[in-house]
Amino acid sequence: MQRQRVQERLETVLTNLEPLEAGAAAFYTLLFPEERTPSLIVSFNAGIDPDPDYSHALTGRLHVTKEGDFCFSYWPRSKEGYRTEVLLRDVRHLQWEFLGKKEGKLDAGVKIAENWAWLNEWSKKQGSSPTVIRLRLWCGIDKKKEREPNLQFAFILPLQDPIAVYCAQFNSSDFFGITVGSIYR
Amino acid sequence: MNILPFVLAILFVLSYGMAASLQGRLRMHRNQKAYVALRGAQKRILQKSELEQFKTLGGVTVEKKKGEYLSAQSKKLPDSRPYPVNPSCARLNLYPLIEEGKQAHPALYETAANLLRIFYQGPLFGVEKRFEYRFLDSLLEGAKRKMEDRSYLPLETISLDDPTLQNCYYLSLKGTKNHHLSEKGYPPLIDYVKIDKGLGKVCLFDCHPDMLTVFFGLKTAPKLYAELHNKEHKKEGMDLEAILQWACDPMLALIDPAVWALIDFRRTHHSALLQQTLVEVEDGVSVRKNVLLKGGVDGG
Repeated sequence: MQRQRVQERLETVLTNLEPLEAGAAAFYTLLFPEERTPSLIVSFNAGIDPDPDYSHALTGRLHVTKEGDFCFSYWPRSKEGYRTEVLLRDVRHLQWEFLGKKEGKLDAGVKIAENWAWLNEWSKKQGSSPTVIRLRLWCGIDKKKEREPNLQFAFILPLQDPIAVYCAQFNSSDFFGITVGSIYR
Repeated sequence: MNILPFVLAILFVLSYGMAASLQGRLRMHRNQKAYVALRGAQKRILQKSELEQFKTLGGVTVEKKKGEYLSAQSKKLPDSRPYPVNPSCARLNLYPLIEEGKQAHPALYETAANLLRIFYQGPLFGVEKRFEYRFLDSLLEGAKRKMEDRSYLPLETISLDDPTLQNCYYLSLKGTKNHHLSEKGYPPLIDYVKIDKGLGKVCLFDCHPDMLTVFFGLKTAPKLYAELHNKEHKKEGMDLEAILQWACDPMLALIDPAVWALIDFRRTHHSALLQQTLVEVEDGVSVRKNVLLKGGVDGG
């Protein structure tokens, strides 16, 4: 149930990206001071909330606290006040992977096609948003002892580029196998 | 020693345990069923958004020929599929009331009040007389405060002065999952009203039946919707006299001509929208999502 709740909450946020203003970035990662893993900053449409300040486009941050809580914090346009939801506890390590077009030399990530790669970070200047997001969590286990995560999620975002994403195979050592086909004009 | 009470106590504990276990399993089954339905609806929304995205690509559309299998499949489609969401071009624009006041646009003001009355009088407003006018005035005041120099104001960000109306406003914005005007539930206000600086009449051919009800009444609206979407004789437009003659409803002839001026009677072909609202229903679970297509997220 908890896993479903996390899946649903993240799906609601990540598939409703909307910039606060035209031209503003709606999706990027940022490593804050004293943070081990980068936070994911998103601008999303929260829909209709009983409090009008927390409706429509908001800014949110997905991060892991020092206490190991995987939290989702979000605040309104006016930046007055904020809300925090604890999605998971005892998260020892977290890893984001973003399927998108690589720009320039690939410093971190896994290249899968000519221009496409699984990236470990998404810079603000990159703009747009990835096509697929993978989230790997080590809950209650040490990543140094257990290399594989014990909790994994995947989110397919509404397409920004004309590619076809389909599942070609399921490998027990991977979360799922994705094959990407690109449709060129 | 009489062991009967002891046996009965054991049986009672066992039956209670079995009932609790069964209840837990039923609850889990319901949750799983709802979750699977939710995922199915979300998957279909993703497919729909992909379809909208691919429509923007150049090239020739490949159309499948309907074989026997496909014809049989299409016959299985449930009749209870919801109508498409009332698009932005078919929403009543309240901006003139905010900018110039209700005295300058009495027809628009009365039409907006009529919309609120038809949609929410029974389920939300209760028996208080002229509640829809109080509600509308409060909404316009709140919108005026928030508007500033924006070109578009999302309805859900408006805060009403009167706190007793705020909850009512929230419920009207959300609507109910299933609704049938004058019978059960109520539609989401967010789909029928907008505040946009761009001048625009209500596109008749894109109207949801509930929107048609605001102008043509409960009796004529469903028939008019079917007529407008009749594929056999696709019309490029339908002027007011033709509609009044076809509808044969004497009440429509009494309506102020300024109200009809709010409607665009031509069939307008709109360009693909950057933002669309998609709705999917599966096994009683309804999912609604605003999808930003290419160029939407990066602001281009």
